[in-house]
Amino acid sequence: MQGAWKEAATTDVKSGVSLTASEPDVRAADGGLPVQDPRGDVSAFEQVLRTHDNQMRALAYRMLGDRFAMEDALQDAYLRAYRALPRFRGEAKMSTWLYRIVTSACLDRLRRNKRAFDVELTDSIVAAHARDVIGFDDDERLDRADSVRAALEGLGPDQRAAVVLVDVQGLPHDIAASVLGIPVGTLASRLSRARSSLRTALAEVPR
Amino acid sequence: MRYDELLARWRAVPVPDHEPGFWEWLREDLERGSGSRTASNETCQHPEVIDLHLDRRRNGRSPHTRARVTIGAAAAAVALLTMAVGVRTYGSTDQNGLASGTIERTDIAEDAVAEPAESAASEAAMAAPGRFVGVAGRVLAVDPSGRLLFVSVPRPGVSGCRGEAQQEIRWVRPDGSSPSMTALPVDASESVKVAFGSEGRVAFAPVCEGRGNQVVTAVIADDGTLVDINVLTIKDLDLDVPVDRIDALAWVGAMIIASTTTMRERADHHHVVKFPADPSEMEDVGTGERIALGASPDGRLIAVAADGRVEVDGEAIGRIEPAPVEADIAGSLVLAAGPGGVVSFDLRSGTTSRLAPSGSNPQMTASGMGFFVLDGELHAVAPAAPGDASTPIASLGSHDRYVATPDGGTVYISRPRGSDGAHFVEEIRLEP
Repeated sequence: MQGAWKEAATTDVKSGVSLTASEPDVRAADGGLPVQDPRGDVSAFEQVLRTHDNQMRALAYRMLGDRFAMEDALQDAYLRAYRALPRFRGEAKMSTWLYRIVTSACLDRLRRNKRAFDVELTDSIVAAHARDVIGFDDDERLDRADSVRAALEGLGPDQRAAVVLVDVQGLPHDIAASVLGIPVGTLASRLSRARSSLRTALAEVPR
Repeated sequence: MRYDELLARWRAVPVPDHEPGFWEWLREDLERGSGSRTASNETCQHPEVIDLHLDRRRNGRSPHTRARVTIGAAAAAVALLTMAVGVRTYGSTDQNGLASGTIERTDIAEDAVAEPAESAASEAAMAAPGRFVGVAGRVLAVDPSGRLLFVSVPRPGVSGCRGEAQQEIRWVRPDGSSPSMTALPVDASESVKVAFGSEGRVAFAPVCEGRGNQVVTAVIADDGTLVDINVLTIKDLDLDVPVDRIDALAWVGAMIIASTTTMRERADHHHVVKFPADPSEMEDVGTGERIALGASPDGRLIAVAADGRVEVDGEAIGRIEPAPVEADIAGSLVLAAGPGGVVSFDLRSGTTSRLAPSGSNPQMTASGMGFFVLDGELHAVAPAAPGDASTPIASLGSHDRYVATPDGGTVYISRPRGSDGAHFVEEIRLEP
């Protein structure tokens, strides 16, 4: 999936912003010059967050599948990041560091909530438009949404995170492994099991 | 579906923007340094119990508002009137052996939490006012089991009734967990009539600019999800056009009963109709405007007509005079409000009792506990014990809304938290 790193992109329909999975270095975002050191400076830190917010929203929404859960996870993650900022030594890129914190916040929620993947996301996946798919007059579409939801819910949080980071967000394996804090081999193993599980479950989804 | 197909669609799902106010609230939290959601983050599922003082601050309530209420209570059947609102309850038993109590309610606002104090003492003081349900919604109803709270939440970027942000209906468990994040296909930006029936049946009739002709029905499954969702368009039986308004809604068994109004040539056509899931099988069960419908415990249709008549299965058994403008029915009691003040009507005895000189927004619960709003205060009253005075239990702003649980033991109040159409929900427990 390395090739998907530059390719994975989607569009925020509201803002029209292109969300790409590429990883800008926030400290070099301003013509390669470091932006104002955000440590202890709320405004500067907010600017850092805003720089990466599209990516983080996409990650949290795709992990959690609900905009309210996304909001809560991001609020939580951004606060955690601010508190941890003094310990950020710049050895990782800021975006990778934020990815790690946001992923951790999402995993916390996924582990607590066994029904994390909700109708909002799966309806969107099936019909590509959540608003129109509540589907009271389309039983078949609802059945498909249920089947997709069941397939996604069959993944454990760790496998789900692996799939989202690598196959949906398009992160390279080494970055994704770093975000998850696991060796690359472990990530590959999780991905393999997750893909196999999803392929099996999806085979039963009506076409 | 193939795996690559799933991935493509997963990537293509539009990513929602933040709620209005996200950055402002985050900035406030960052500036405070500690992040006032810390406690809730340790326990939250979505929706979570939001830290109290943050939302107090958002709401801009006046600091240290204190109200002390002494309550007298009677009536064994409805011995609910010793209440603990928020934190501290000083309960006692009076000389007659009847419950009585003093409520002390403390609202703590911005000034009290200017510092992110983490000490046990300050936490204890801040925790005092009770629990906020962490859903940014406007309360609509609580299901008969008391397990699900239905709310409407703004749908960012989508215009709804009156050009305001469209509101969609969601439902949560008051304990903070959520059975589903589904949104019902109902624009609740103005108001919604909600009716619950037996075996998990629920129906919603949205109102927009005073009009609405759709009823959305569903069944609440055991796990709290909604299934069998149907959207029905209600037509006038005589004119064969969609009705203009649904004035009242109820379930009687598996049948939906709706009181409808259709305006034509300066005349209003009123029908009371009943139908199963398919409105093509609609039957006319009466004419004339009803302001409230309900079902008796033995499954008979109860109606309060606009002229004050109270009917059981179409037969008038009494009249509320002067005619009320609002009414709610639960069990064998009607709670009504209008020019005659707040009154109750007992279906068994046919007697009317005057409970308050004025008031609005009556809600009757299955437990026999009633609620209404008087002079900006939410009151609780036991209509079966009319000798008891009503009890103010919370202040309500003009945009605040409340719903009570069927057992009358809990009230949820939603209050606007800003100009973005979002609300936060406060839970007040009324302990026997």
